[in-house]
Amino acid sequence: MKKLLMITVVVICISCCIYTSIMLNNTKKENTELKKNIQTITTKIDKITNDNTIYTEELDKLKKKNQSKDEELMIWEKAKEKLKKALS
Amino acid sequence: MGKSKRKAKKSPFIIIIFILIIGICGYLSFNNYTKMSKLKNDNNKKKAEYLVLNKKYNELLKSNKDFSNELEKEKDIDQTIDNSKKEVFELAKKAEENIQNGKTNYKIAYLTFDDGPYYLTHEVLNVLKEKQVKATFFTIGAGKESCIDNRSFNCTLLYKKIVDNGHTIANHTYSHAIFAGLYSSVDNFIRDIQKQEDLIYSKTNVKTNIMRFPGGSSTAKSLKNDIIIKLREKGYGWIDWTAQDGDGGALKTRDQAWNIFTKSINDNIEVVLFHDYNYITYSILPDAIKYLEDNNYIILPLFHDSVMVNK
Repeated sequence: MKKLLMITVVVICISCCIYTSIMLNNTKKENTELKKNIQTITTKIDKITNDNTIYTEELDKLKKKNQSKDEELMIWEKAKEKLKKALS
Repeated sequence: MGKSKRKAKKSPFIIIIFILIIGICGYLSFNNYTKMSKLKNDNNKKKAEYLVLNKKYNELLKSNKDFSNELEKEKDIDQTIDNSKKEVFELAKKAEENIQNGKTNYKIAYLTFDDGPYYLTHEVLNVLKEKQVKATFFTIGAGKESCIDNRSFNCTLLYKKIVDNGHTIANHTYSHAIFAGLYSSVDNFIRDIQKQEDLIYSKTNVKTNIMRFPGGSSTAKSLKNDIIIKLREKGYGWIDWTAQDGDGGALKTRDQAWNIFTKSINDNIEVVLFHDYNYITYSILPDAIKYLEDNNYIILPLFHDSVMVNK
């Protein structure tokens, strides 16, 4: 009986040890994965921020260039509105 | 007796092994647990950091898409203007039908400028731009190489400016030589039309499909019908005018031009004849536009499908 109790305790202890080792290993893996994900998303953010800066500059240039065209488009849009009124 | 002695010797050894195993396992488990707790804590922080970064990334991605769309829109503005223009002409065609059937109080006026580009064309274009109005320019070609406008630019540059400003460019023959053989034969007239069509195309990349007879269609007299047949073959529509300020004749004062103009505005769809070389016309142009708008006219450039363009 005493032997059985001792064996049970030893088995429990070893199981506990194995369990915590597995859990630790999983947590380590999760940690590595998270580090990797953070690095990936940081790289993506850097890239997209860079893209956005380029877009902003390009857009500013184009908007300046297209200013007169925007005005022209507005005239056509106004004419469209008037004609729609004439048709309603 | 011997058996119980051996048993007594074995017991402490087993107990030591037992305690060692429990000790080592306990230490390892505790150690693992401590490391795991720290790592879990770290992971939780990292997860929170990742969520923040992910949110930031999604926001950036959205703004990136917005930028990209806006950029495409800006790049495609010429196409957008073309589409808008097409829609205007489609709506104008329907509006003309409504006006003719008395279904609307709105009216339409087509402003047309003949014989340019000339030394005043720049100024006329500026007035039209200021008033946000599009018109039609019936251009000729003879003498334009040597023509210098009010800003010391060669008049031939104005063909492109007319088109770039969104106006309709149309054909008024190359020579406009009413009294020097233009109407001597159908072939001669068509050659003149072709010459001007080629000139306009070379300057603007636009193929015109609306023309006006110099002096009006009645000037062609007996050739008119045959010329129209040839024009139709070439895909042209032709148009005269229904209103004017008299600037093609001996106009002397602003008041005279204004009276002729206002008296000529009677119909629900008007085609107004002006000349972009005439200072008096230039001086009444802003008021003429206001007059038309105050009288419920929508001012448009001509288009081939308009009911006013004869086909």
